[in-house]
Amino acid sequence: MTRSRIFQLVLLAVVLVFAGARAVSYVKERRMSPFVLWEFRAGGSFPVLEKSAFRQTKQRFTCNPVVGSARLCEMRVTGIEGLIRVLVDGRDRVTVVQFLPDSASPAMREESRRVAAEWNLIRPGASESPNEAGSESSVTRWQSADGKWGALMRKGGHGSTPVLVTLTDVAGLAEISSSAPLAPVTLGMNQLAELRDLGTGITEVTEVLGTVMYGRASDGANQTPVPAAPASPLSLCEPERPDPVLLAKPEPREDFTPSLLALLERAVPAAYPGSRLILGDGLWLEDSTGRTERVHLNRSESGETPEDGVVFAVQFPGRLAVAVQRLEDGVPDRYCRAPAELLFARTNADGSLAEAHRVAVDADAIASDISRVSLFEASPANAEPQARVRYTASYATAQSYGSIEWEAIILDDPPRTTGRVPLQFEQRARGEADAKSGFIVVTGRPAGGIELSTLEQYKWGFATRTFVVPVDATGALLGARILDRSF
Amino acid sequence: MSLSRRARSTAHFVSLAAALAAPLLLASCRDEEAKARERLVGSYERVLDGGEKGQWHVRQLLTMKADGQWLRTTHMETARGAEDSPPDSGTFRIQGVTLILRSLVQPGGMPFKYTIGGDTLFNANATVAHAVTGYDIGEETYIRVR
Repeated sequence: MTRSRIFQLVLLAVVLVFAGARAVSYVKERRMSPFVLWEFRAGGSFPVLEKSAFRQTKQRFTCNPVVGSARLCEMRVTGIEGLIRVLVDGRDRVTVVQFLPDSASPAMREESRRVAAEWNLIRPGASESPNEAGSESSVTRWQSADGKWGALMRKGGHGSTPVLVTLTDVAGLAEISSSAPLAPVTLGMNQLAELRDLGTGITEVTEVLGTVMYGRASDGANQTPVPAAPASPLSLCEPERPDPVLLAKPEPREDFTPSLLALLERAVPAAYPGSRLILGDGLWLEDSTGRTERVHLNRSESGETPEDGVVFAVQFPGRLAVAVQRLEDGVPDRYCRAPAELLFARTNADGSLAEAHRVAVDADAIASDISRVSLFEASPANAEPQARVRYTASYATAQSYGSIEWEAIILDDPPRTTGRVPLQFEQRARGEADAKSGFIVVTGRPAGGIELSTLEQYKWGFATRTFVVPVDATGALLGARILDRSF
Repeated sequence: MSLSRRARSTAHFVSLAAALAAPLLLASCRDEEAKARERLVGSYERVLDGGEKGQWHVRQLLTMKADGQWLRTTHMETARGAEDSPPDSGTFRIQGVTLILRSLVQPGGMPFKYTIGGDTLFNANATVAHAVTGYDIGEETYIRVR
């Protein structure tokens, strides 16, 4: 082979390497958003972005899991002061980049003008005028011709300076959004995407809360069977201190009308045999031995008369305090129960007691506390009249203790709990000061379990998890099993 | 001898290619700026009305010319009558979406920068002014005169 031939081959190799490098660079470029904010763009590699950001700021991103393996990484920057947020997918690709400036500095105002002008050269942005009268908020959106990349500037509060700049990998965001049942609302609550863009049919945060919090008990798809009382239940708690009756104040009572008090005075001996109600500065129950114990009786939100029948939430605060203290102490041998109850009572037309029933809302929890009782007439949604009871049930596991807020459905005559829906959880690991908490939604019913999804709120934002909790032999979802997992 | 001739001819080839490529690259950059200049050419106005009862009215007209020159005139109407301020002029360059004006009246002064946003020129000098003086000079926009 002649030297000229070798030279030609070397030259060819150099040209091929150069062309190859250009081709790789072109392909990489095609996989990244044309919309650039300084060095940030969607579609790129997060480790590369992180290294570059560290070189310039000497800071590292703080990352937290948001949905599955996707995480939200944040860093405060000082050039134009503000917060950089990056949604990173499970393959370490940048799906969303956001910048939230702290204030309306001249630098941010001028940078946003320049950036918007550059984006307009790629494709003209579409501005939306404020949708509320008097609102100064406005949004300009850009989308690449192939629809794969989006950008957004939201103004409002900072005058003509954006309060939020967002770059989005549209397909990447859609993938994360479809990866978990509550992923769309979680992304929306984190303001990483606009709820209307995620195909949820939901546009407002209040609607999100509606889907995860309010009114779910009326939908049978959310209800789970009520657990039966354990074969060997814990003993009932006893107040640790005497609870003498305090004398009533001279002023008229504000908690109950005379007719309701008369109903209670008749209903208590019937529902709690051997006991009677004592009216003092509050309410007490006195048992057959003469021992008194303070009782809280809270009536349902609806204003039924004694002749219609009234529902009261019954709680013994002394017992509850003992149960909660022992649960926090974490010595299982000393656990005792303090269940909340409902008292259904009705009078006849002549004022005599027609009926009185006690209903335990949760036979499984260590302690329970009713926060609200609502009565509903029969309607297309409810085949028969029902009471919905919102209560917090406390449980202990080996590693943690905490509570589940449930909404239980009470039906039938005599009344009984027919189903319940988990609403919220709070879990505190033993020895840790901070509790984890969030909303819970039933999102599936695989064989042998119930799929739950959480919407958890942290200082940095919201996260969702989805997991399956095995049901007990009767098919009931137990609160302790929900809290038995690490959040 | 023949090898050295070949090497020399290759070197010539590479030099020639570089010599041809460099102007092409420069030309492509210049072409971009020339196209941007063509799009920009025209007159842009800024109107200010002030005083409690509209006691003064100022119209500034910034004219961008195809030869890279600019001219700014200022016409004021106040209670004392109408007057024209001395005009300012100079040369301009366009870098991406940034328009840079250099003044011939104040040759050593800071260049004025504007962001070209369609038919609007947005003042882009507030950042520097703020850094130097601590004051925000606010927004100043010129709108194309059709």
